Amino acid sequence: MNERTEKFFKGKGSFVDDINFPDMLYLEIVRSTKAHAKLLKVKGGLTADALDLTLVSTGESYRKGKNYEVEPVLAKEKVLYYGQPVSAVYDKDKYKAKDLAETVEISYEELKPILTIEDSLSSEPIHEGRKDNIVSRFEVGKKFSPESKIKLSDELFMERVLPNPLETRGIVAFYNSGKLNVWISTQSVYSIKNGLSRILGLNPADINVYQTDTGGAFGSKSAVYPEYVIASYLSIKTKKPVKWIESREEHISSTRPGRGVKAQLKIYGDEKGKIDGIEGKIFVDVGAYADDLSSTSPSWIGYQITGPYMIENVFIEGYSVYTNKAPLGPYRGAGRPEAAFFMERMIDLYADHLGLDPVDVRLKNLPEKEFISPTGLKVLPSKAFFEDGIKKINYAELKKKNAGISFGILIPAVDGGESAKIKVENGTVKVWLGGNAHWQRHELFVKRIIKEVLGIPEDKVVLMNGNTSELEKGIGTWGSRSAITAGYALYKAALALKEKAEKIGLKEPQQVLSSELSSEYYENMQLDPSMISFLLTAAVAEIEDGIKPVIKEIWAYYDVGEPLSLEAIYGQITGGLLMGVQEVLTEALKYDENGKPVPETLSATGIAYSINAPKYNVQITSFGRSNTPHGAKGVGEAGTIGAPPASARAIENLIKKRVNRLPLNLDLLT
Amino acid sequence: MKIKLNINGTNYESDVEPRMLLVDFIRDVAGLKGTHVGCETGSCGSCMVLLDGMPVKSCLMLAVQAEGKKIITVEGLSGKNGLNKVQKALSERKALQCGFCAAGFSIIGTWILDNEENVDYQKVKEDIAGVVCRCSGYDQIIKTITEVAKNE
Repeated sequence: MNERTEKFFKGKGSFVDDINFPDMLYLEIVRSTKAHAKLLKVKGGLTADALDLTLVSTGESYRKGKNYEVEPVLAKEKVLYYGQPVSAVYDKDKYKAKDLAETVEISYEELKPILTIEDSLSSEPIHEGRKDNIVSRFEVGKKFSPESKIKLSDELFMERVLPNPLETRGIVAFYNSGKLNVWISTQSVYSIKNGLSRILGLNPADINVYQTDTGGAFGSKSAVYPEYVIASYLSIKTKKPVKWIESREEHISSTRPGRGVKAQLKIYGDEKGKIDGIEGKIFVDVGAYADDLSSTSPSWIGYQITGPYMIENVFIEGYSVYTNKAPLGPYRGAGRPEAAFFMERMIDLYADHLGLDPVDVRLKNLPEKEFISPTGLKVLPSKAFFEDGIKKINYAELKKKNAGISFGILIPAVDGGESAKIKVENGTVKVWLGGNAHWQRHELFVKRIIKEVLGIPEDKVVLMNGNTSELEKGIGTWGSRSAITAGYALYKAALALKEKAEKIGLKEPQQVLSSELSSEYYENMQLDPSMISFLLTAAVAEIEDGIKPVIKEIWAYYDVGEPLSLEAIYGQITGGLLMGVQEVLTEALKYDENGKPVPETLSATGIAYSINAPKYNVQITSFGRSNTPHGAKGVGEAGTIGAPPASARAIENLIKKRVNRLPLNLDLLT
Repeated sequence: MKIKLNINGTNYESDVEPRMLLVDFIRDVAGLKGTHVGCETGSCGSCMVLLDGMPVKSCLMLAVQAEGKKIITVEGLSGKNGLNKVQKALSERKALQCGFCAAGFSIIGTWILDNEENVDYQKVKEDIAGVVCRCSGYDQIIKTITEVAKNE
């Protein structure tokens, strides 16, 4: 029996669109239909004239310190991307609200949209007052003068990809008796609470954020968006509950996509397969506005470019640039898949040049002992892991099928740690985690930890949705961090509860279960190399119907540390692998020459259906525990890191043409 | 306009706009929240129901078009004795992750059980091709439905 999933089959889930109140107002956002234009007239609805705020802060110091352009809640004077909120209307009838949206008049003076990294670098700034379109520059590693015999260069590109959770974004805001209550589909009730508090200037104590059942996220539900501010503001104004549910069309135009990264790289090495160095430039297309994550993305990619390898010389220049597209956000992996794709594709180039087996070249460049790269990335020696894996997936056989191979690492985003709370109530153990599960099956590791520490049976343990009034502080779920960080905090909270129980003489699990004890713990953590997991992925491609490349089979030999729940891990891996495969084949957010997103429907975004799934061969293994009491490593993003380079190589082996752009350019096949 | 729809054996009468979609009638008029809206364009199957025994996407139909037909939603599959076989297996094996697709896979899985013969992995993989799961990579869902069908 699984009480959590059972409710979805009985229609008893409570996703955000299932939350209703009497007298509720339905909010509709009127969006820009131009990618770059001056606003000549906006007539109707709530506009920037009445609600003139930016997403993070209106404070000068913030803007000076960070020095990037923050998205306004509603566009003022100019629109900088197709789908940017310009006005907002509402009605108590959902259909009438849509009608009302059509009555808002907007007139534009169109400007030339900047849509590529190349155009961004050579064009006038899209933001007035800036000297160019560069958001930020970074240098990671150390300049070097290579004297290597072999020097190869290539340009690689990964297109934008939409997170596309099956449930789109949504919020219900209800300002009542001086408090703003928010029900929201989110990865972090804390980022929503802190964001709304800062943007609207409300006292944090006057905001409660409740996480609804969350139908997937993949990065898209971590940040505060304009619609959340508008819904909250309107509820404060009208004193009525205000609901906003994103349409799929809005998700495509206005939810933050990921990737959109170009690299110009050079790899240096000797004639026997020893890599001397990697250098080059990485450009990230952050769209029309930036935030901390998107502006620092190039340095994060550069930091981990060497993956599991020992490469003594690294120098990467990184640039984030503005374009007239929706602002960039994290998408499953968020920088990790980019780094892996770039490095792995360069190693294949090098191995091919030397006529060596790509696996041999990879094994040759793994460190014998702990290695600190010039960027500061610290990795443990992993030769034993990969040598083992090569045997376990039977590479000798796969080679005959032209398999592509990738080696990779998964760096979990543990910094900042996480919180957990346990409350025993009516014979049930309720658990809240600072990272708000959207049911990547966190409940399975939660039940296991409670059972292990307190001896309480799994069916008495319930993982609750995020709630800022139950657990005041927390971070969020993303970056493959939850099993490590929230698991750690929960482990400590359970120990504290056990100690409390013992102090008052409660020793048996049954006694604890009858108590009304509670405990809370915040574990502040920092990345340790023992938390970084190793990934070996292999893919076999075929051409279907004489024209269409597909990935037929995929192998994953993944290190997960101490496995907390094998079925949860398996589902995380297969889910990530399919996303990674599809990103190589068809999945992309492209824009037309006017800056309008090309896909208009979910299927047109190229997502994977069941018939696109390869045959999975997943081997879950442990190459040592992380230095936490429960030993877990991350897993959520493993598949999206491992699958793209392996799949791209498998197709390359088949069509005998270099694959250096994602999604695959079908012209290569002709 | 006044319409009357039969959903899970119960008649629901309401005065609605002619343009009202079937999925909105199911969710907002009948109050059955298990059927979800994922894409509004028939791409995802989160809104799938059985209409006179056939799986249809209720976001692609007007409510008025469903008059005189028998509509079964995810709640109607469960019945009084709890979940049906497909739902029970999907739930117990934790084949889903976020749960948003529960209605779609319950409906199509039940249809497979009731209509398909010689069910195997490949057949299920093709039959569920109209329903999206963004989380799982489909493998655990296909395995679960296949196994339930084989044990029929």
